[in-house]
Amino acid sequence: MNTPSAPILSLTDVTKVYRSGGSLFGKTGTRIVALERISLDINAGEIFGLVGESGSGKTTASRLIVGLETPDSGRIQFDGREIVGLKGRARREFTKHVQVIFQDPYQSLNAHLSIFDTVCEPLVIHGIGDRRSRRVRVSEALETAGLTPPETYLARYPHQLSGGQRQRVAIARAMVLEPRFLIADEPTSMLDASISFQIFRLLNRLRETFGVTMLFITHSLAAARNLCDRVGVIYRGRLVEQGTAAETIMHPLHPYTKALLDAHPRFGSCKHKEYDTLLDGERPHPETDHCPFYPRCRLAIDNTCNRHAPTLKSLGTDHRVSCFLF
Amino acid sequence: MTMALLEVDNLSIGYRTDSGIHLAVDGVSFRVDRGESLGIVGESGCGKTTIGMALMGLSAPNAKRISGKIRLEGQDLTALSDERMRQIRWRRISMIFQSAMNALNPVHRVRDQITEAIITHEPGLSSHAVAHRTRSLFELVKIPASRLQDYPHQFSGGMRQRVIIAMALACNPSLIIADEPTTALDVIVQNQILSAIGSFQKEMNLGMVFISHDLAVVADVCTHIGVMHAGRLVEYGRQQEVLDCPGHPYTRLLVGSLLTLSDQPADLSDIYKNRRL
Repeated sequence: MNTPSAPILSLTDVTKVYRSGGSLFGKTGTRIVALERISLDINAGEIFGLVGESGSGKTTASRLIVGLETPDSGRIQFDGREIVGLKGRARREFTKHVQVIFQDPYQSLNAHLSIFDTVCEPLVIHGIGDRRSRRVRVSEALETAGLTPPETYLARYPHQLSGGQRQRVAIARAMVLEPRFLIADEPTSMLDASISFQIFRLLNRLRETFGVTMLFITHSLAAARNLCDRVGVIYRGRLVEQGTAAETIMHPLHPYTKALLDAHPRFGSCKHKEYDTLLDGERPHPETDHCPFYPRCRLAIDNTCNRHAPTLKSLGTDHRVSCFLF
Repeated sequence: MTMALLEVDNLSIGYRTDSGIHLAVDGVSFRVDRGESLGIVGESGCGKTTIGMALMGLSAPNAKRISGKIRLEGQDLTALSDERMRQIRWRRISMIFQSAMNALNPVHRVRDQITEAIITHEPGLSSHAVAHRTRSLFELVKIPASRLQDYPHQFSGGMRQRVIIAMALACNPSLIIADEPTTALDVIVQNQILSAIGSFQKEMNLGMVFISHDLAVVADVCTHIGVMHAGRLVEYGRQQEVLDCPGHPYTRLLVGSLLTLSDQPADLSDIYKNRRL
């Protein structure tokens, strides 16, 4: 594990609100808060896991980082430079360093492009190299991604590959620019178990060999436990707990993190402790500001959790939790 | 040996394609008794759903049973006519489908969909008895009776899956086939559905065939595990034995790929020892 160093990516109080419905001329639609004042630092060389259920805002976070969306407020800094609102050449320079691996390798690859053209495209976009050197770099990237020997893949098309091979092509495409930061958004949720294990190994090796920093987005605490150095648990757009993967998962604090752990399949020797923090039903949502987990939390404190929203506070070294119980 | 609830003997099923018959299930045998649950795991395309559909007598039109027998309490289902099979299906053997989003009819109230299932298969029942059973089914799957009048789109994914479970139980079957019943659900909801399935399976002493790609889920729910690979059942035994001493290399690969929450994270770094990354 790498020693923590200066953050390569920082999110400070990032909020993103989507508006749905409403008319073209008025802003009367419903507000959906996808991210609410999220702050987190990702250190160079680490794998940071963002864990949450569907709709928690974890994918929104990745879209904000690569600039597919703009935050409503807050700052996002890469290497100390503000990246919100970057345009033109500065934006292109930034995207060279930050690449994304998407969830579904059946949709993220263009069916009409050969594997060579797919992996080569980022080089063309950024105007790197000539015909010959691009061919070398594409071959190297394929090899890095475990598609060996690369020559046998260059002329093939996505439909001729399995799901695992396609995801390796997506990884090669992301790595061909030698980025410093990779966002992997549920990269294995469409893959079979044994294949996804190989992809985890590959991601781990990319970090060890190339020192690439990674934001790993997942719904699986087990995946986060096994791959990540640090994790953040996100619920309804808020970061509820953050810490090292070992500490957060073996000694969780937030009732929601505990509920996620309780829900993990248990069998054989990995029968773990039962926390029982989840209510059977659900309380009505209070009108006032409240803890996002209040409606489902068995441990909620009356007149506190339903009246105020907790903020993230530090407990010990690098373990932070957003809960009034602490 | 006593008569098994379900006995599958040397079942082979192929699909007719333009280039001849493609074998999807190759000589599979297993048995399930009352109170037991057999989890069939395997990757996509290994033939596990083909088995589930064959058990229900709902095989695709181009599927062809090449050999084998399926016996439910001694009665050979493969020898039955479509009409006789229809009488057995849902009453003695029923199914929880994968996609809760699509398995319900969006233009009918959920109550009507359940009562329809009951009336179709048990036409003799009085309307009072049907209404009573519908209510108790909702109680069983923990949906408030006040939601009976709702349409499927008013339900969350987890609640829709509960409705699907209630439908599968509507006619008191003795065997349930569950095909990836929690695949599209979030972890917490998945856990709630799995414990619901587990508890009625035990309480009602049902036999269950649970089909899944996820060994962790199967290990959580099932008493027995069958591992399929390329149409064959490569390993089959009690849950504990399969997990603790997997015999077949493919099972070892699957068990080795299980990510757990243990103190010691899996070793992701020993890549150089392996031929393929």
